[in-house]
Amino acid sequence: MAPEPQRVKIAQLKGKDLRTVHVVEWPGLPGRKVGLMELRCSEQLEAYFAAREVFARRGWQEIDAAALQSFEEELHVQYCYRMLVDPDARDPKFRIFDSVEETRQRLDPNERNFFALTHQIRQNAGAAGRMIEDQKREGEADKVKPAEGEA
Amino acid sequence: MNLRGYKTAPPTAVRLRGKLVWLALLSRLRLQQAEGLAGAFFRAHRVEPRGPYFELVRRIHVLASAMDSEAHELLEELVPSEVKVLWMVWAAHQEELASVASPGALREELRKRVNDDADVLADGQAAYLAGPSSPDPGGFFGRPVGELTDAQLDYCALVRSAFIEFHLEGKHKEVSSAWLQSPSE
Repeated sequence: MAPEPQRVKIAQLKGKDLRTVHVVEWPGLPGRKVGLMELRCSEQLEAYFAAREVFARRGWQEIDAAALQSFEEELHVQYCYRMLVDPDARDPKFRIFDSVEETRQRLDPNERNFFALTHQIRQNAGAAGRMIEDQKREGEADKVKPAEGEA
Repeated sequence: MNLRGYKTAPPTAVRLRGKLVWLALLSRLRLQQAEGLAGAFFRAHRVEPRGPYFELVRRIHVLASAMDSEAHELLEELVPSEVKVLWMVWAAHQEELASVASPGALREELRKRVNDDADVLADGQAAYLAGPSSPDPGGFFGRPVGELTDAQLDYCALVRSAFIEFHLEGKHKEVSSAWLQSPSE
């Protein structure tokens, strides 16, 4: 009878609690580096709900077509506040901005768009790539494993 | 091989950060529960449950159920692209089993097994006679219908018809509706 599969607890998937941080150049400032930390689901949701709240405070209850662009911009502010960190740190505690308000004031829309887009591309490529590599390694291991009774 | 192979749907596995993660198939009830929890999570933030962020939360709740894990742990630990890959593997598996258990294919398979396998006969007969109060509550038979996957529900119906067709020779054509109902109903 096949053994029961063991449950992998999510805690076992954690590494040393280091986060994936991509070091990128600040747009328009060659040589000036900033860390772009991959946001987890909870952080992205936090950013989304925070952007909704900002919108609700401004009196927008629904995000319709007219409000969509402003909402995207607010979402980028929220993302930038959470993901831009000291390039040498792999820790969300080392954010480069102290508050969402400071992020909103200090970053122009092009910078926000650049960072949000880069985050999306790097995160998709990074996590999916790692999983594909895992599957490949698994496949290679199966190939070299001797068949039953052969060893 | 006997019918016990169908009692619990087989899980599938995917590597995540180098560890093998098992993803179980889910019954309609568990899917509904997961979706309900995702909706409640959004409403708790006074946001309508719709759009891509809701879809992310919905998938996480479904995957948490399939992984026998806690949704908040997945939320805090995974990035969306990891959720996407897990979701694709799980959804493909759930879909695959449903298609394997299509009535036509499974009926043919059961025809062969019911005729050839003594274990199948004994197992099927006991289950048919015992109904929902089957003495095997941990297994497939006797479980509340709400906990069964669509494929398992198809299987119930097919076992019943195959059993009648092949082994009762028309003596018990009337099958009690209680057979497929939860004991609590």
